[in-house]
Amino acid sequence: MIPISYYLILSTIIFTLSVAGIFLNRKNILVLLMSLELMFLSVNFNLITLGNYLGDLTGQVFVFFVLTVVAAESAIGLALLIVLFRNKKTIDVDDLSELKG
Amino acid sequence: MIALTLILLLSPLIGTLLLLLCQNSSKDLTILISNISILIAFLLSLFILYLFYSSNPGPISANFLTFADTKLFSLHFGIYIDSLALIMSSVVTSVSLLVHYYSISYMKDDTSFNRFFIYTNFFTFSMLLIVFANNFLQLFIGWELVGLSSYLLIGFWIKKESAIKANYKAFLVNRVGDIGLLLGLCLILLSYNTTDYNQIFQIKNSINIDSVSIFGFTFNALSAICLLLFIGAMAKSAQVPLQFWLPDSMEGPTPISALIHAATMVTAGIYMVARLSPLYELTDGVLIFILYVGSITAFFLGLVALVQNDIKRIIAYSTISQLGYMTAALGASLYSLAMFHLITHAFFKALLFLCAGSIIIKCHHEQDIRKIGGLRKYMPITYLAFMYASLSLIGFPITSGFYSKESIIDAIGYFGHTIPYLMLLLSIFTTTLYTSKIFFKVFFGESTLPKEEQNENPSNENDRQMLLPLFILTAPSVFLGLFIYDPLMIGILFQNSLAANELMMSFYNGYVINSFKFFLHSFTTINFLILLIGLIFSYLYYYKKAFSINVPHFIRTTLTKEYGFESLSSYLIPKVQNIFTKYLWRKIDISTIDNGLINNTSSFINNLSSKMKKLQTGFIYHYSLIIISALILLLILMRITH
Repeated sequence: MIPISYYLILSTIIFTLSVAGIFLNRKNILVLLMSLELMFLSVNFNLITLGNYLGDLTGQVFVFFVLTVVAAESAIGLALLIVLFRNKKTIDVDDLSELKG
Repeated sequence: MIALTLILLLSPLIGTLLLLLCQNSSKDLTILISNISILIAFLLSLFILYLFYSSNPGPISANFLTFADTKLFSLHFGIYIDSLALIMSSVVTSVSLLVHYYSISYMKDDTSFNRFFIYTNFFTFSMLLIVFANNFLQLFIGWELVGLSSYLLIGFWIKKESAIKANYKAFLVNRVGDIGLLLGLCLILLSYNTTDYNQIFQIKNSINIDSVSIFGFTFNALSAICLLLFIGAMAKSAQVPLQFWLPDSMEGPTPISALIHAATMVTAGIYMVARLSPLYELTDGVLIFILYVGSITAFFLGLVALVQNDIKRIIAYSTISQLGYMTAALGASLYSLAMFHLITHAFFKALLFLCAGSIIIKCHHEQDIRKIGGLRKYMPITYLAFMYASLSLIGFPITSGFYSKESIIDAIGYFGHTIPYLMLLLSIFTTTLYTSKIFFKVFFGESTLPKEEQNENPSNENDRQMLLPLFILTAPSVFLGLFIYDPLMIGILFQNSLAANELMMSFYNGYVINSFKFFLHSFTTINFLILLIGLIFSYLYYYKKAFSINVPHFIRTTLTKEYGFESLSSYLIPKVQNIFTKYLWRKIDISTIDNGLINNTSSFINNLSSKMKKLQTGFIYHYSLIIISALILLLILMRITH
């Protein structure tokens, strides 16, 4: 039996990787979306682990909901990405600084 | 009687409103409305005067409208009827009527014919508002309206630059006086909680002890009020040092000069002091001040007239000088004599101005008496009328001017005011000189009219409409004094409207005896001697040109410059004001308000926001970093607090 701390450490590593991916990624908005996905997955991983550990199915059921929302979210994100590319001819993060004051 | 007086008061106002309604209609309608409204006022004032003397009900005061009614005081529009107000209104309306009639012909070629009559009607109304006021607020309103209409009329020829300057000057100088009047009014409200004449006259004895403290100095309230009100009167009645607007007011049309000088403007100050004579009697020191102001004005401004060459300006200076006589009479508590001189002066000065207008029209708007001459043959009626008016002005025995002026001078001498007496005595001489100067230069000597106009046919003189008022005005200018002298002196005429009747009685019994004896006696006085010397001197100097006098240059300059008042008013005051306003403009407007408050605020915000906007990098990872670090911070905080 693999101790629960292993699972939690793994999920924390994935989460940290995804956050770092958002912060440090200067290149591509696609990578940004991927980092977001990864963040969701790490949280889902936590939910499943703890649900199993506590013997409660709610956590595992909740993951399905989250996955649905994430799927919708990434669909919207990709759609925005396409529109953005059509207008800007780029998906480079550094070029997208319209909000700069 | 009250209703009739109300109609009398409102008739010129209704005339004004009707004229405003039909501004663009024909001249005939304008003439009709304006003259009839004044005619109604004139006939009514004669009728009410008759009613008043036949029934003699004493002073009547009635309120009609209420402007404001507070717990402390109430402000009304009302009417005060007594002999003083009625006599004054008769004088005002009669002169105004004649001036209106005269103006029909005088202004007939003017493009703004209708506008002229709107203003004159309004002018008459404003003056009547002062005359019939029964409280100080109404007096003040009338006072301001008179100032406004004189402003409009002096600048009637709006395209003439000098006229615009003159009306500006008149308006501003009157503002200075208005400050005095307004402060006096405030002080009255403050001290007595009422503006009603009757109430103030009733409590006048108890209010004399009150004192008022301004900037730590304590004054007797009544004296302070009277002094402040007199400052208002000084500006309106052109007394030193607020006299310099009056000669410039000659820029208006000549009938207006007649109106301003005889009936509706400059008399307001004298009338107000006479109206408030019961209050002025109780003050100490103020009357002496008034006496000296009056006699200084009479003497020194009479001198200025000697060096003037514009016919209207000479008459204007003579008005200032005659107003000085009235003020001096007020200052010596001889209120009824001041009013008497006001009345006679109204008639002969209106006559003088209308004659001057007739001359000016005949000479095609030439006003310089050096360029006018020899008009006697071509203007016989004007010549005679001018002669009678001049005789009245210099106080030649038996004329109206003689009775009023001689009485003032003699009474001031009789009551022992030596210095004012001497000044007034000497100004008889100057009055004679400048009057004969116009007379001899204009009517004698070489004729200056163009050849084709040298027509001795009397019908060619001027329009009949212009000559008729001259005829009518000659009668009161010469004979009015004789008729009303005795009733005036023994107090029948003004009854109890004016204070200090006993002073007049003592003068009458001790010096005058009756009008005929006064007339005979005058031939033996020094006044008559001075008058004769003046006449002979001016006959030799101006007519025969028997000798010439070299007036020292600096005296001539001083007089031409009006003792520096001219440079004071047209140079010094504007200059000082300019510097002052420029200082204010630079320091207050630009430095403090514009740069200090407005620009500083905006540039501060600008700086702040330009610093703040650096936070908005526009990069998503910066925003998310901030969000997540804030989240982590919050979590840590929660951890610590729990």
